[in-house]
Amino acid sequence: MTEKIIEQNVNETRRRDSESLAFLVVKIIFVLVLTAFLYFVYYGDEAKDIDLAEFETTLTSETEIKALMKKADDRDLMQFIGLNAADYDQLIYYRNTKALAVEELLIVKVGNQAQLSGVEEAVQKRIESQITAYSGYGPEQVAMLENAALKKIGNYYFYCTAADADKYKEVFLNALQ
Amino acid sequence: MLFSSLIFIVYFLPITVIVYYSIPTRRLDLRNVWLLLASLVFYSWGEPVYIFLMIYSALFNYFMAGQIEREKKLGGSGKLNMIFTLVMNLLILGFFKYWGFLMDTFNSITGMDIKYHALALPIGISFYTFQGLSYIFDVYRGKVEVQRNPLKVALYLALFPQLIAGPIVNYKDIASQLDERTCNMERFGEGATRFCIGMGKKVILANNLGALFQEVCALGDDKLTVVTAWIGILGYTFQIYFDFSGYSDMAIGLGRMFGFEFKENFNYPYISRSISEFWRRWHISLSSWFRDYVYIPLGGNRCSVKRHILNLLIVWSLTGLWHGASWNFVAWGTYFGILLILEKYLIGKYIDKMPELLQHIYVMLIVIISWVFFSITDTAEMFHFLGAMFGIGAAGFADMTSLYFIRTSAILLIAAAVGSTPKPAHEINALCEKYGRTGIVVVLAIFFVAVSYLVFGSYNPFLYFRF
Repeated sequence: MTEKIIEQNVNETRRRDSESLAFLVVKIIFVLVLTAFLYFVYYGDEAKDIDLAEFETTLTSETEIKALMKKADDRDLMQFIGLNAADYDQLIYYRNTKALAVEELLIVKVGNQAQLSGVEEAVQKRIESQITAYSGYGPEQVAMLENAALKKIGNYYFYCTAADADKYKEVFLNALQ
Repeated sequence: MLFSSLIFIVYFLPITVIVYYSIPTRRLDLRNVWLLLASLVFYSWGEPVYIFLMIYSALFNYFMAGQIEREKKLGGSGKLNMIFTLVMNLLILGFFKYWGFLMDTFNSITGMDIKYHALALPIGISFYTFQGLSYIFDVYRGKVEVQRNPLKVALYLALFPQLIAGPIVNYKDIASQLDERTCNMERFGEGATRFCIGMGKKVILANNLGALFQEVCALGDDKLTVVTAWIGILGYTFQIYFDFSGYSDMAIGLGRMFGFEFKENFNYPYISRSISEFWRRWHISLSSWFRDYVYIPLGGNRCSVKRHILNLLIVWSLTGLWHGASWNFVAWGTYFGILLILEKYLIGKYIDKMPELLQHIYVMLIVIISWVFFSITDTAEMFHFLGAMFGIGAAGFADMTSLYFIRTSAILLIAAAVGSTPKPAHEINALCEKYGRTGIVVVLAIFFVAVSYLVFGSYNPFLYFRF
C-alpha cells in the first residue's frame, strides 16, 4: 500500500517535472520569437534615421528644387495638404507658387505608424483634388499629378509632383541607405 | 483606422454591425470571433506588421496567466511568473516607446554620440499593454478566473472600440461580458447616440480649437502677446478635453452598440474644485490603473508621510512617462504629483475654505499651465510660451493679432467652455424627455455636421493616438 502511494507520488512528481519542462520550453520559444521579431523590425527597416534639416542641404545642392519651388511654411502645409506640422517629428515642404503650377514636394518623418497612413490619406486627397481642379484645361498638370512620386519607407513619407519627380525620390532614397 | 474617418463610418462600421447582428444572439461565440476579426482588420489598417505584436501579446498573456494559476495550484505564489510576464510586457513597450528617449538621455549625459534607430510607435501599444497587465495582475491576485479561451483574451486586448486610445478596460470589469452581454435596439441606439456626440466633440469642437492653438503657435516668439498666448493655450485646454473625451464617448458608444459596457473615462474635469478632484474626473481609467496596480501595491497612503510622498511622486512620474518618452511629460506628471502632495499636506484645508469661484480659478490656472508642458515638447519654446502668458518675454499685452483672435474665436471658446460643463447635456436630456423626437434630430444634426467637416476637412488624428 505504502509502495503504491510512493509510486503514485513519484509518477505525479515526474508528470509535473515534465510539464514544467514543457512550459519552460514554451516560455523560451516566446522569448525567442519576440527577440526575432524585434530584430526583424529594428534591422529590417529599410530606412536609416536622417535629419531632414541636414537632408534639405543635400536636396537643394543635388537638385534644381530652389529654381522651381519655394519653401512653404506650416500654414501652407495646413492650407494645401491639410496636415498640422506640429504633429510630426520633422518635415520638408516645397511648392511652386506660380499660377497654374502644381509642382510640390513633401517629406514627412512621423513618430508613430498611424501617422504614416494619415499622411498618405492627406496626400492622396491633395492629388485627387488637384486633378479635379485641373482636369479639362490643364492636361500637362494632370499628367504630372498622375505620375506623382510616392513612397512610404521606414518612418518617412515622400511625395513629389514634378516633371522629374523620380529624380527627387532617388536623392531621398539614396540618403536613407 | 480612425473613428473620425469616412472609411470607418461609411464602410467598416456598417459592415461590422450588419454581420454582427446577422449572427443569432445565441451564438455569442461566433459574434466574438467576428468582433475579433473586425478588430484585427481595424488595427492592421495601413500598417499590418504590428498586428503580429498584438497577437503575440494576446497569446503570451493568455499562456502566462495559465502558468500563474498552475504555480498557485502547486502551492506557489505565482510571483516569478507574474514578474516574468511584467518584464516581457514592459520590454515590448519600452523597446518601441522609450528606446529613443533612453539613447538620447544616455548620449546627452555621457556626451557620447551613439547612433541608434528610433522606431515608429505601434498605435495603441501603451493601452493594450496596460490591459494585458491588468489581466495578469487580476489573475495573480486571484480577483478573476483564468480565461480558458485564447480568443477571448485576444478579443479583450484587441476590441476595436477601445483598442487605440482607451478607455483602459480592466479585465475584471469586462470578463463576464465576454461570456454574456445584452445586445438590443435600445442599447444600440444609446451607443449610436453616444458615438455621434463624441464625433461632434472631436470634429466640430476639438479640431477647430486645435487649429486655433496651431495658429497661435505658428506666430513666432516675437509676435506672442499675453492675450494671444492665453487664447492659444485656452484653445489647447479645450481641444485636449474635447478630443480625448470625444474619443472616449465614441469608444463607449461603440462598445454599447456591441453590447459592452465600459466605465466612464471623463466626468466634466473642468468643473473640479481641487486638483485631486480633477484627477478623479480626468482620464479616469488611467488614474484607476495606476491606483490599483502601482499606488496601492506601493503602500498607498497607509504608510508614513515620507513614504506616502514618495509613492505619489513615483506614481505621477510614471503617469507622465506613460504619456510620452520625453522629459516634458515627466515634468508634467511630477508637477501634478507635487501639487497633489501640497493639497494633501499643506494647502488642502485652505482651498476647501475658499469661495467656489476661487476654487475653480485655482484649478483651471494649474491645469492650463500644465497643458503648456504637455503641448510644447521643446523646452525653450515651452518656457517662452509660459513666460509670455505672464508677460515675461511677451510682445506686449495685446496687439491687432490678439484682437483678430478674440474676434474670430470668442464664440468657439465660449461654446467650448459651456460644453465642458454638464449644463448642455442636462438641457438636451431634458428637451428629449419633453419632446421625444428632439433628441434624434439633435443627434442627427451633430452627425451630419461632423460628417460634412470630415468630407471637406483634412486628416485629423486624435491627440491621444501618440500615446
